[in-house]
Amino acid sequence: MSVVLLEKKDEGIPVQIPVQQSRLDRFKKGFKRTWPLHVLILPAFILTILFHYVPMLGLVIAFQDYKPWLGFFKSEWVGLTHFRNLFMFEDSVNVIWNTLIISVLKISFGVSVPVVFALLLNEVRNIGLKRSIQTLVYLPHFLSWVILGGILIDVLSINGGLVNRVITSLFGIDPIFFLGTGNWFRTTLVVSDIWKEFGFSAIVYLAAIAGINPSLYEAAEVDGATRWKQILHITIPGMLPIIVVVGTLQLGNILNAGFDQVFNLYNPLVYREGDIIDTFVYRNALLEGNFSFATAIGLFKSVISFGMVVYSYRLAYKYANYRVW
Amino acid sequence: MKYKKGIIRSSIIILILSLFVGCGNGSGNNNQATNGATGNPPVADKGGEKLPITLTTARPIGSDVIFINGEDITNNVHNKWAKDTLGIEIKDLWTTADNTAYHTKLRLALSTNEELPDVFVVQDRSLVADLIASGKVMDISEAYEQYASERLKGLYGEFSEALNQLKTENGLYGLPIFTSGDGTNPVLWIRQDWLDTLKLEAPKTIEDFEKVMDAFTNGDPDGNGKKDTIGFAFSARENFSNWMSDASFIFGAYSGKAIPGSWTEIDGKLKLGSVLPEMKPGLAKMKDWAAKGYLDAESPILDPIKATESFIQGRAGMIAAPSWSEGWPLNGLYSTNKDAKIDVYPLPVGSDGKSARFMNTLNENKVVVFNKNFKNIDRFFEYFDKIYDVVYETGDFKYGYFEGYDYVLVNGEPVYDSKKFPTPLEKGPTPSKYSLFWNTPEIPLKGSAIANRLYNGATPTTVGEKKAATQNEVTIKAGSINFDLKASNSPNQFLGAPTQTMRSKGESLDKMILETYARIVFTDKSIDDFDTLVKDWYDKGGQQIEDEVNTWYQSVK
Amino acid sequence: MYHKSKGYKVFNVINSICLILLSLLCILPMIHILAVSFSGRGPANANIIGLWPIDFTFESYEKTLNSPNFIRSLWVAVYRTVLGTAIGMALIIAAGYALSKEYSYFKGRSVYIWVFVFTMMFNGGLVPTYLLISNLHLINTIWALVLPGAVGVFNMILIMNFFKAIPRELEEAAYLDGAGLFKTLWKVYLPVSMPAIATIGLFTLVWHWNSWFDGLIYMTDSKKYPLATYLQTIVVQQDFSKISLDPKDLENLSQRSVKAAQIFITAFPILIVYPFLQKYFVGGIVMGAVKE
Repeated sequence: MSVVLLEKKDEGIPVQIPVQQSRLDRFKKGFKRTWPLHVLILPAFILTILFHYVPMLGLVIAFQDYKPWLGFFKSEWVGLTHFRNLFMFEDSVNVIWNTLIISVLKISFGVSVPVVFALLLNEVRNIGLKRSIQTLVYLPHFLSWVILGGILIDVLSINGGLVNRVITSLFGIDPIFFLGTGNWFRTTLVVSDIWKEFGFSAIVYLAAIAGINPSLYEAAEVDGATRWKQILHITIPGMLPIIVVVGTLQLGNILNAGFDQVFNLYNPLVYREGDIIDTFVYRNALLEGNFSFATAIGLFKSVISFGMVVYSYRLAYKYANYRVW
Repeated sequence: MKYKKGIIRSSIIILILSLFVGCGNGSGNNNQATNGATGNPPVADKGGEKLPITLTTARPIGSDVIFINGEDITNNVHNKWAKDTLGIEIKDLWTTADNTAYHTKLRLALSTNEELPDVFVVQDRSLVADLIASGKVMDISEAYEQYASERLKGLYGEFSEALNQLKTENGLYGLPIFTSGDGTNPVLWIRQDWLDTLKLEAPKTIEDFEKVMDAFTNGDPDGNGKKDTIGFAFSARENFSNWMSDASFIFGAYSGKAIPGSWTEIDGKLKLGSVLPEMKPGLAKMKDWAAKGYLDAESPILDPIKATESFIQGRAGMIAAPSWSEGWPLNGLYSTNKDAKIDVYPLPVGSDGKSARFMNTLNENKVVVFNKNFKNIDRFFEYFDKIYDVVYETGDFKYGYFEGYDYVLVNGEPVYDSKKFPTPLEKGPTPSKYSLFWNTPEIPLKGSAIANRLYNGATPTTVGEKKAATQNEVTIKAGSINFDLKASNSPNQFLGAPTQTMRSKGESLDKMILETYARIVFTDKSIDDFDTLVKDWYDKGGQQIEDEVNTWYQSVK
Repeated sequence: MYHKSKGYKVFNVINSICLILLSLLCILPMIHILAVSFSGRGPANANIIGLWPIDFTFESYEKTLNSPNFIRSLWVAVYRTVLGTAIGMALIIAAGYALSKEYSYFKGRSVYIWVFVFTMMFNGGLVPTYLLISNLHLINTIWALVLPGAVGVFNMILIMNFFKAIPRELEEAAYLDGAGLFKTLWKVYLPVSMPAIATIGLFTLVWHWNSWFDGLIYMTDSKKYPLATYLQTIVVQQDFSKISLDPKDLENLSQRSVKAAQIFITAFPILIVYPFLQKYFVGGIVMGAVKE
């Protein structure tokens, strides 16, 4: 509001009241037209305020040395100590770095693989086959990392695990210690995560494809466009808004490298390459009941994530004149 | 810029809203606190009249707790007994399905200022420390003196060091709940059929151990013509000293006392075993063994239970595990190989007879604490003493808890195997787990002493001995060996609350130790990096931790 | 007609084969779990089962389905999922529809969206949320499981984007016919958006079905756990040494075949529901409404 007022002032309009009035009028007029929209949003809005914003009051403990028995009001205020502490740990930088590497890989493949899969699946002509494939690839989503962790340890074992048996017999090389050597460990994290989730993530792209107006294809067909051209000029543009939205929101996960997965797979041999912020917080704060430190790190992660999302939103708006939402 | 304004505007709304709810929070809590406080008046317990009281608790009820006759945790033979005989009505404020969830909820209750149960068990040292610091649990030093029965005082007198877990300079804030005491101490389990095939003796020293490992690795003990066996299975994922799949004795054979991960008194001061120079020879030995293929290169990624799989699947020939392990998980071996034979032996010792092995605390860190508003602590002690009837074989519980539940009298003789009851039960009920203590509190080390007597030919006379005598031969032998190895027990002697530096830096330091150990043994990291580790550990906060630990040690000495 | 070109036929065959191989790769773990669930106790505990059961038995399923706790949890989960999905979908569709309007038409739009998006990144954490639920007296009620997560922001943004992609002409035609906002939503938007609604519905459904932590902390009695919570307490590798040192107990607690059966039975209802939703987003449906 202040921006508007300033502009008007600069233009030399003497009083502010008319401006406000006109804004108010416009608002009134607009509201008359749009009130049903507000009503539609209201229930979701109230629940969000109540269950998400109200508890955010609790974030104050990030700036306190929170002692449960003293409560939010009597615990000692410590300012930014916890935030500084995050960087004081010997391994903090290493842990943040690991998180970034793993999550950037997961985000980029986590968005692109399902898109490619959806496009390829869309080319399968046989409806029965199409649906069967889609059902099968969606299954791993329902297995938790506790279960998959155990299975992966067996399958990737250097003592006759399935994968190593295939590798050694096909390529004649030594077994690879996937979970015990740093770089392989990260690769394993990323590949297994994509493998687990791509089928489920692809659903939304399939829905986007299904929502594309078939008459567009018919018209293209008449014009004699090849299938490749049709994909390039109809299918992909049709999916693009969804891809952009999902991609933007995924950036909010820039500091989430996947606690459950890492926690179930990491081990002393790969601490250096595999320890991430969340496992670090789990060991250093949650196990000890140090909620203040855990909250401070959570808040740090939130700020960075939100920054990433806002930044990409603005980039899209500024350079492509595209509103992500 | 639109969204910025949006955020500002909405945050104002939120602030206003949250103020309201914030206030609500405070008052709500107060109400809860007053309502929740045990409203029972102090017992006017004169002339043997017992006023009925209500005692609240909270506990995990796992699938190992078995009920019959449609009973459940709120309504069962134990609760009825407590009400009828002792006038204590037990009420569960909440229950969870497992131990981890229980502690999560308990921590949450503490963090949200919920009223704590009157009596509850905790098995988490830092949570116990927080509970004591919160001032919400009761100092029971006087109540203990006043109400604890003579035999309880005798028991806690005998194992008085266990009380240190709950002592501060101000008082005593609960009691340890004893378990078998040595139930997680390792003994050595060997594939006897492999020894026989290769015509070998069980190893007595570390040198023998190495020879047997070599034979198991290179001598094709399973006779399949392939080199697919290893000597020894252990876990190095969380520690080198473990309750299952242990390796502590290898270090103990060189140090004679200290093992990785435990604080041990040396020349009057507590030292962390992991960073003592005495660990170096054990570590060097393991590195050598790993290079020769005697050990599983995957040990660092296997947790203690997963590490038993190589033994169970017939790949590893030896494993260090508790004395009861033949019943589970090692019996899995029989389902993969019917002809396999498992036998149990003492852990190998150093060349000059040195030895040390992992030992948990006598109570597996399980303690009972009390809400400071609990008014009937005298009644609790009465209950506590009655529960010990089972172990002392006295009073109502001299045969067991409840006839028809954990035992049945047939011709005046108690039968404990539920499959041999007059009406056989596939899964017998577990009344021992209906108690406030999750299980029967025990007399530490008594079980292995009984096994030792039985193994040496004593005829079972007491109930405890008769029950023990129903175990299979190898388990009794294992218990007996467990008893014989008493002298090499190396329990963690630091029993205090995690110290300040431990809380801030302990995790990073532990991680550094574990990583260095694993890398030295299993990668090309040099054994001399151990010296760097020791120096780093002391420089990066270990010295402070050691000082704090010793301050505590002096305070309880 | 590209379908008839030789190149496309070859591509189609190769593509199909690759995708079939890929899907086989994805079901191997499920087959393994099934095999374990049908195996005898011993071989399962020894972890020697591959993709085929050893000592075939239904024991694990009998045990699971005879367990009163399991059945109770199943009902809690069904109740929670149906209620949660219904409420969640209503909220999300209503709000998503309103938010899909052009900025020029609906000025407050951005504010709302950022208020919602903000909650995707920031949250108050466990303790304050628990305090809130407890002060609202929702502990031990189904609402503690349904309401806090009812507004799935990700899903709302998705459905909003789907709505945005619907041609304006449809809406304008409806207006000309005298339909109001609500009627346009009901008669025009919903029928055209079935792929999107099926997708979002599935996401909401799956989210409710799989959520376990809220059940753990908001239910004070393990009898009221939804299935996912129940399963979590069973499947997670407990620190056995803390529970019991009795090998009989430990053997019971660690029974892999029973765990496998429970994992499978838990996933089963979702697999059953899936084909009904799937037909909306996997090919074959001609979006008749769009053409008119």
